[in-house]
Amino acid sequence: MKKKASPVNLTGFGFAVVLTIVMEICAREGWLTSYVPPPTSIFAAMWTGLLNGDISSQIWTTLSVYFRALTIGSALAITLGILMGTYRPVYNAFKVIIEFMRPIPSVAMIPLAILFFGLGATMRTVVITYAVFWPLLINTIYGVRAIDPQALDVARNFGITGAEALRRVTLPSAVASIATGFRISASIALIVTVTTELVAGNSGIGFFISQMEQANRLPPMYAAIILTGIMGFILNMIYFTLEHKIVFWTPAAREQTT
Amino acid sequence: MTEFRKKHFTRGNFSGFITPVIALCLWEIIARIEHTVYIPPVSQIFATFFHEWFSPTFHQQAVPSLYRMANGYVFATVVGITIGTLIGAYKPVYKLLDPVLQFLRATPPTAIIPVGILLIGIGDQMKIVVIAFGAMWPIVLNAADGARLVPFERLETARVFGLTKFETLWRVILPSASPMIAAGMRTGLSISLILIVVSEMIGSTDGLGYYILQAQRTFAIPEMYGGIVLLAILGYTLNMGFLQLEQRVLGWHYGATTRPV
Amino acid sequence: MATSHSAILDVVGLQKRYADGTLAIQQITLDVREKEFASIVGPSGCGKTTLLKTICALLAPTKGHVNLHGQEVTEPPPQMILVFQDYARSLFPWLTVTGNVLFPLKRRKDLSQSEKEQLANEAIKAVALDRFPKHYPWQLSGGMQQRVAIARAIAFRPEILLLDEPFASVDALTRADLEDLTLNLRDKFGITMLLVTHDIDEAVYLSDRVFVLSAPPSTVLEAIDVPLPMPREQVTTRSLPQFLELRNHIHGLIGKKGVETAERLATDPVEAKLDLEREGEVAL
Repeated sequence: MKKKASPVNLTGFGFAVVLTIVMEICAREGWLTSYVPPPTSIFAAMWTGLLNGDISSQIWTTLSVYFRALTIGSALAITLGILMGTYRPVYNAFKVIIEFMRPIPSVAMIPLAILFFGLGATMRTVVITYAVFWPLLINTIYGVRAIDPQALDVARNFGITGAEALRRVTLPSAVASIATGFRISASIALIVTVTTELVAGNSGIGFFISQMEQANRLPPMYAAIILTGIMGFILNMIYFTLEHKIVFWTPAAREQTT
Repeated sequence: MTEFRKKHFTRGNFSGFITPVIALCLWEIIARIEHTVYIPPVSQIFATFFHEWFSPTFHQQAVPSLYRMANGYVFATVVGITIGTLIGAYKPVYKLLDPVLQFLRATPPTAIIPVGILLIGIGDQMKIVVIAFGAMWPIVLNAADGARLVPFERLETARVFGLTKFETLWRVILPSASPMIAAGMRTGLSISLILIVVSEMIGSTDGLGYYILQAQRTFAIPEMYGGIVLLAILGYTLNMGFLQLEQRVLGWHYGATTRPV
Repeated sequence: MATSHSAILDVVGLQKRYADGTLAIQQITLDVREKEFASIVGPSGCGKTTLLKTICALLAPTKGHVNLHGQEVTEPPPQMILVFQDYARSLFPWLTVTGNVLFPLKRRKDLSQSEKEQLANEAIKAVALDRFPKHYPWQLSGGMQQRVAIARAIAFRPEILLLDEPFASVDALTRADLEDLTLNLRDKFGITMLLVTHDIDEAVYLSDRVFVLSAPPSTVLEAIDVPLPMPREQVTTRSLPQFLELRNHIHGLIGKKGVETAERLATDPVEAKLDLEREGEVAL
């Protein structure tokens, strides 16, 4: 009889629970600095904040800015990426600009964006779009250029060339790389969204965190931070699953995914 | 020298520079026509850049940033590799810590900055701790994965030849995991850069991040652009340097993985 | 020609059950004599690799034990070194040929650096790779990589070399070269060889004795002496009528019959063995 491994990591989650309990005891005893409140108060703040809208409305704002910027950035990146990957002159025209603009951390663009767009959602959208653009662009270019030349030869044999070949052969092939690039861009997007809200926001969960910190209201602050982590985790899982559903033919997707 | 010239000064490479040059020229023209404070002429930006950064400003602003980044990153690397390799090498430890690590990894490192400010204040230490904390996770996770995925044949070879656990860790697991560790270190480097800028924007009295934000607030616009340019150069140099180092140390990996076995 | 030396390795009543419950090895008893070339041959899945790993203590037996020079083996002993089938995964890609061969010697405190280098160079020369000391494994062909793995084991000067289907992943011509290389190494360094293979011809060609395993749960069907003349030669030895006799005999054992035999032995070993002997199948 073969033993079956449990799909849920009970040991690990058990450890996490134990850790939380230990923290609870330490906090209540006053062994931790007053700046680290007991986990129960954090969970209570999380619960109330989500229910009465303080936190949930901010999360909603964050997510709407996030998705808007992600969509715009992806559309731009994929379009330019396909063009650059397919047509050498386009690639040559833009490659130097990319090499020099890529390593600029998007956060450095925040003051610039404030200058042109003031504080607010538009400024943040611009910065996030900037951050989303680069990894996805690189991956798209790579995906388009790494297509197996044999596949194109086979297509040509059947009389499929030009725009049709682009649509029916190059694109599906590049989708794997694009999907990975999208996942990376999406996780960066969340970080940048929260960061812009922290630095110069007037709404959103990052703004909420910064406000709570200034008001010295610690349990809601920690609650918001933890929720941001959970958001990131859930979004990442969604992207992983989507990626493997859409690009089901790659070896990685065919194996059991965690 | 001619080899170098032939290799780098090709037509393809030249044509790459045409667009940026054209873009910069356009910028210059538009700036001079429009006369808005927000878009200073490129020439003015360059002038300010050279003026500012070849002066004491560099020491006052850029050096502290580099210092904090270096400290945080080195700490993250050393601790991260150690912890990560140990976690990956001992399966039960990996299982135990996995959910906690996944959660810590998913939390945006910038969200930790307010906590840092509360617990440590706004000095150098806060920034170093925040950078260390943020840069550590990709390194820990990659080191753990790298250590976990060592082909068992290598581990058994070590056992057959009687290597102790420590020797196996140091001479087999660590080298095997080094390509993945390097990838984690590269991610950690970009995170460090982001964190130094943000932490200096939020809670600092000096540093590049502070400088850029301050310049914007006081409408010293050419200075602001200059700061961004410097940051770009910094990011580019660090990335290039890392890549060069990686290719030197991990040359065997590129050879082994790009050739058909 | 079986050596008339005494047994240095004794495998007694070995049984191995996997963690999921499958019985891989039912009961194996065999011995290996000093400087002998012994082969273990059997149908796929009969646990040959498991057997080798248990012999050198990488795995622990469920029942039975392994004795080396009369002492029970509980930890991988330095006198027995195992060469894996998958050389690509067992060599270290960050080390050169010399680096890989020196690897196990590095920790030996009883040798000086020059002694270590000499051992390494001798081993590299013995496998005919002395023109490639600074190459990396991935720059070499499959056969050459396997030679590096063998050199790494040889440099350590073990008493017994365990080889797990070492030539399965190389082409036929290279395989012939490597087979002869192994014979030479046995003569040159006096190392006892225990080789596991699914290739019956190879087993007969190389060995002084061949142990034939049944299908799983495996037992030793027969221990066959191979009195073919030394030195072996690829063409002449393989054309000898005696060679054909031996290999046909083994084929008969582990073809379809091997499966039936295993089933009978599994139900009642003693009865089955008596029956089989009567039927002229097995020599007790």
